[in-house]
Amino acid sequence: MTLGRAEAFASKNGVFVSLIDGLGSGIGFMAALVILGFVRELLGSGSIVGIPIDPELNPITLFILSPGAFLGLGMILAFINMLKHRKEKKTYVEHENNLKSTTLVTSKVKPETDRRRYGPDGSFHHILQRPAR
Amino acid sequence: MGQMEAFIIFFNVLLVNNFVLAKFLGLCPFFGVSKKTSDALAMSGAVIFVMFMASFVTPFINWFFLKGHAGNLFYSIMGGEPASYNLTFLETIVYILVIAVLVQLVEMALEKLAPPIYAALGIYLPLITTNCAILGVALLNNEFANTSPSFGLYLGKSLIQGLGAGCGFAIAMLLMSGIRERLEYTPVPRAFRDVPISFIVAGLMALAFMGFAGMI
Repeated sequence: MTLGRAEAFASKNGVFVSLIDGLGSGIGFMAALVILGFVRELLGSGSIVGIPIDPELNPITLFILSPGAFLGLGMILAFINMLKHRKEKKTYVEHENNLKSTTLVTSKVKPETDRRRYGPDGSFHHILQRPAR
Repeated sequence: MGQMEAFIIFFNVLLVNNFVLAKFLGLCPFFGVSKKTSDALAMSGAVIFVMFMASFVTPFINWFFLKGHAGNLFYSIMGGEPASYNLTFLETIVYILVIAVLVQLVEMALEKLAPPIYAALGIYLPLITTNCAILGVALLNNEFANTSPSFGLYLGKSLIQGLGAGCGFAIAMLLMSGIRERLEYTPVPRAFRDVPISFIVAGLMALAFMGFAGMI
């Protein structure tokens, strides 16, 4: 990972920028490590930073073994993706509303010539609704 | 070394303590190049070669130059206390250099002989240098130096472990790439697409490989 970073970034940029980039990716790595460690400890041994939350709790031992690491990381990545998609959708809807107000004017000219692009009501609606592949 | 011992060393790193799925070594090519089976095959070939060669070369360096014991060459030339020739703290940097030389060799050979594979592997080929699976196997081999009475035994065990670890990596890699090729045509929930679902798959594979734990 360190060598990858050096090849991908440091060889193209100056010393100072590379230093900042290295610091940034290091901190990002730390954050990911802490989150994953927190989740795995909570589920795997039922404690937070070494302090058990409930002695009678029966923890999921799987999460402190190797499969738990993969599963936990996968779940965290999926969660981050979900948040990202949700944010994208929000900006998408705003964009769509903006478009609707503008296409109302142009729709009088365009819809007859190109129905596939502009849909029956002259909006981009059906294109924007299509899930990304 | 009996046949049984060799068998145990081999299958231990191949299945029970699989480097990728049980020890988390060498994860970046495991997720980076496992999208196509042909690339995965090329990558595992390169890794097997480098791993095997590394576990062939590093025992010589460790036994004759680094370890402070009766077999040390400096000791046999200059005499004195064997322990005073102990250079084992240099093992990381020396092994990395050996691995880097081997990777350079593979890179040059691939660039000339198979340009498409060279292009497909991209940055992951030079990254074999810092592949923790390879340095991991070289460092794990050091344990054999303490337990084996002769150099031949140490070298033999190292070679078997190197080959087993390389094959274990190849098995994990090929299984993963096969599953990922199928995943391309599977309706996966949007948030799980691509990388997250690969991690889940790897988790389930690790779970399955845990079943081998009782074998040895």
